[in-house]
This record gives sequence, C-alpha cells and structure tokens, in this order.
Amino acid sequence: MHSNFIKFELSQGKFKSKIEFSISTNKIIAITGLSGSGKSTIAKVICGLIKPTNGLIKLNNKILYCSNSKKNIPPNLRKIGMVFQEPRLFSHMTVKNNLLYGQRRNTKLDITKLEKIVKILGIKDILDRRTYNLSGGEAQRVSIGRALLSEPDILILDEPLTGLDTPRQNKILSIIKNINKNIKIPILFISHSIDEIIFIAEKIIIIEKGKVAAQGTIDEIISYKKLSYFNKGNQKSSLIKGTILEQDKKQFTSTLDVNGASITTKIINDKIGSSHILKLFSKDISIATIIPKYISINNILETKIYDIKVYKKEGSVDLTLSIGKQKIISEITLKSYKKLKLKKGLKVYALVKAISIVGK
Amino acid sequence: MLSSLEIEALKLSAFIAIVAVSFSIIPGMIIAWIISRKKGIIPSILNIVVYLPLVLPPVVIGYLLLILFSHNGFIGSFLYDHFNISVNFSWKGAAIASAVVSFPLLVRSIKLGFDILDTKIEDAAYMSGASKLDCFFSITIPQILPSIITGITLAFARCLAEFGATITFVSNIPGETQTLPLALYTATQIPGTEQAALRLVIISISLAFISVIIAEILAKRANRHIMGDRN
Repeated sequence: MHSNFIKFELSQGKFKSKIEFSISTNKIIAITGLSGSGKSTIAKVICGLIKPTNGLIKLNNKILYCSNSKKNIPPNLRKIGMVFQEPRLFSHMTVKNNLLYGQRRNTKLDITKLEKIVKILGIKDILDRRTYNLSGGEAQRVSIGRALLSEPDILILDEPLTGLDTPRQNKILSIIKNINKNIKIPILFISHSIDEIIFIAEKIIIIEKGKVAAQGTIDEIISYKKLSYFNKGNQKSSLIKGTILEQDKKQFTSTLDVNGASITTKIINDKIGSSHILKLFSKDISIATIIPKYISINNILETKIYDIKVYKKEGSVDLTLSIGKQKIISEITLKSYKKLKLKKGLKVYALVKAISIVGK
Repeated sequence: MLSSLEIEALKLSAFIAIVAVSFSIIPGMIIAWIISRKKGIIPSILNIVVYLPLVLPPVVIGYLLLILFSHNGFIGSFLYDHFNISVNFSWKGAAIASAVVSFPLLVRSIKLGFDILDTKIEDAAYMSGASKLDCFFSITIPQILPSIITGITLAFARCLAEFGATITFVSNIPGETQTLPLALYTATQIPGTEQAALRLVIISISLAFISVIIAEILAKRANRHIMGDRN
C-alpha cells in the first residue's frame, strides 16, 4: 500500500463525505472543487481537527488515524505543516520566533535549516520585524516557513492565495514549486482556482459533494465536464490542449492544432510540436451559424453543439461545443440562442475573442 | 500631614487589595476561560453566579460571607476545624470580602480577551506541534495580556473602594480591618474630624486616579506589543 494514504467517511448533519486517495512522495497534489464541496474538510480531517466517522489516514508510513484499531493521534503530534487561508501568525512574536515556534517543539534548533528556508521564501530582511506590519504576501510566506520548519511529513496549503493580488499569488506559487524541488516532502495544495492548480500540481483530485469525482494528471482530468465552473467569481471557462504547429515571429503569434482546428495565440516560447493548455472564458466565445467575413476575431473554429443548458432566470445559455474529442463552453444570451435557433448536433462556428495559455 | 491611623488605613487598604487580587487571578482566569469557551448549562450558571456580586448590594454579600465563614458556618467551621484559621474580624476576612466583590470585574475583562481572541491562531500553534497547555501559555496568555492587565487593575481599584461587604463581614477595627473607606466613614461619624475626612477623600481620589492611569498605560503597552501602532 502507498506510504501516504487517505480514506475516510464523515457525516456532519446533511453533509456527507466519502474520500479515498493516495499521495505520491515528493509530489504536489492539488485538491479542487466548488466551494462547499468539502475540500477544506479533507485538510481538517487529515490534520485531526475533525474526527471522521471511520477510515484510515496514513502519512509517511505512520498511521495517524484508524477507526478499526481505534487509533487517533492528536493534531500536534501528527507532523503536518499546515498553511491556512489567513496567515495566522503570532502577533506577539517576531517573524523569526514565529518561524522557530514549530521547530522548537518538534526537533532541535537548526539554524542552517532556518537559513535555507528563509532563503527559499525570500524573507531574510523581515526576520526581526513584528508580524502586524507585514504585507499579506510576506505574512503568508512566513506562515509557510513556520509550517516547513516544524519538520512536517507533509505540507498542506488550504487556499493560501486568497486575498492576495496576482503578482503576489504568482510569487507564492513559484515559491511552493521551489519548496517541492528543494525539500523533499509531499505537498497537498487545496484551491478552487483552476489556474493555480494547473500551474502547480502534478496530480489533481476533483471533489464534488464530498466525494472524489475525478483524479489524475492534468491530461487525464482536462475533459472533466464540470472543470469549466472551477474559477474565481464563477467565471466559466474551458481548458483545451493543443500542440504548436507554427511560430510567427514577425507578428508574435503561435498557431496550435486542437484536434484538427487551428488556434492562433500570442507567441508561446516553446518548440514546435510541444503541447500546451489553453483557457477560453465562456463569455469570450460567440457563436455564428455561417462564417462571418468581415470580423476582427482571428480564431473561428468549426464546432458541433454537443449539449445545451438553458438558465432561464439568468437569461443565459451554456453551449457545450465539441472540437474533435475536446469540448469548450460558450455562454450566450437566451435571446441569441432563440434567434439562431440552435439545436444539439448543429454545426456552428465559435468565435473566440481571447485565449490564455495556462500550462503545459 | 497624615496621622498614624490614616497611614495604617492606607497601608492596610493596599495590602488587602494586593492579597485579594493575587489570589483571584488564577481562579479568575480559569473561570473566564470556562465561561468563554465552554458551552452548556454549567458554564451558563457559572456566568450568572460570577456576575452576581456586581449587582447585589454589598451588604448582602457581607452578610452571606458572615454566615458562611462564622465558626458554625459551612466554610468557617471547615477552616477552623482543619486549619485553625478564623477570618472573622481579621484582615483575612476583609481580603475575602474584597476578592468576592472585585471578582466579576476581573473575570469580565479576561473573558472578553478570550472572546475576541481568534481561536484559529491557537489551531495554528496546535498544528505547529504545541500541546494544548503549551499553546495556552505560549499563545493564548500573551495574546490576551491587555485584557488580563485591565482586569487586574480594575479589580485592584474595586478592592480599594470596597466598603459595604467589608464592614458587614469583618466590622471596622483600626489596624485590622479598617481600610481607607472605613476610616473615612469613621471620620464622618465623629464631630471635629472634618480635616481628617477631607484628607482621606483626597487620598482615595488620588489612589483611584493613579490606578486607572496605570491600568491605561499598561494595557496600551501590552496592546502595542501585540497589535503595533494600529490601536
């Protein structure tokens, strides 16, 4: 059996959860799902802050919880480095003492380790400062450092980028990748943002209504239909995979092949033949039943309507369009939907206004 | 200047207040913690009982103490039979009366500290490997220190002001139970001691003033230690 294995059942009132997955050593695993799906509950159960109804939790070959043998190790002895949404720093201590808080309680004082982690996190200049005047990004980095220095068997990050602006989010994401390279521990990254998890994770677990709905590498879950709804502010989007066909260095564009359809994006600095993941926001995809001639949009894809979902109250319609085996979702108004007389199986042209490259 | 009797009253007042508050701090913190963090019927009842001295007439408290601590009383007989201790008509009784009356102020302040402390911070300490007790001493107490300081100073000031329960419970004996307010009361009862009464009034006001100022300074300092200059 895997050295890191999590399996449990839990019922809290109406909410029922049944989870089972394993974590490969030294890998970054992402748990994602809509809010209320039970992502954070998983973290709390692993930490021991919530006791499941039954199950088995094993980390680094140590059993932390087992309902059969009635074993339940208290949270402080589980050796889990936990980073929460808010940094939760101890404001009566300096940054340095915050960092050493866990280390002092789990192992000998090790200044070399402290220096190593301070370097990875880039917080050397703030060590003597008090925590109340740190910026959000700095505070979260200190919080990650404190967790790492407590010599954990696993690092769990529960939505650690909430409330940070994009440059700071990117910085922390890079730091987490760097940690994974330098300190050999598995990392469990919980987030509702598809961009974050694609950037960071090698394996993705999708949670829906307290259950594992899909898991695998990015390639394996990319076609998961509900992925389109995993976005900040519920801005629907779709992910598709394409391979670079052509690079136009004069006009700064790359052309990718997506199951026979070609998509032009701003230039991707990579080899021809390499594959990339593209994100298309559903609101950026318009529909036409014949190819429009005079239009500024470059990406006009021939697709077939695979599925139609009408939201009467919102006055909007989600069209699932297939490009070969891959699918994208276009969000149009109910009015346009009726005007164009759209039906399942109909051939339509998707006019894609904006595309972003989110991962490899 | 002050007469020897007045100096004695002043010293006694300070001594009794210090003893009363010192013995109240630990039980006060425990009870504040229970009331703030535990749910159920016992904490609710405890909450009401602890606050009672704040709203009861002090004379009622003094009388209840008199019954409980007399040689035939529930607690008094126990103390006398087992430890040969009698608190009646002694400074010990005055300290008990002060402690009881000031206890709600102490508990209220500390409870407020526990109430507003984000328990998520304690969870973070817990997850960093600290035991619950370790977490209490290394995180909780330093975080609520301003509330503890405020509670202690308020309780101390209340002890200095204590009159009704004391005079009912342990009477008004110079050098033993006659604190400042009791000395002032005596002075107001005897013709020709208006000067002495005035001096005692001034001392009382100054003491109250000083203790409140010290409380403010200490609480602000502790707050700055935790929150920076934002407050």
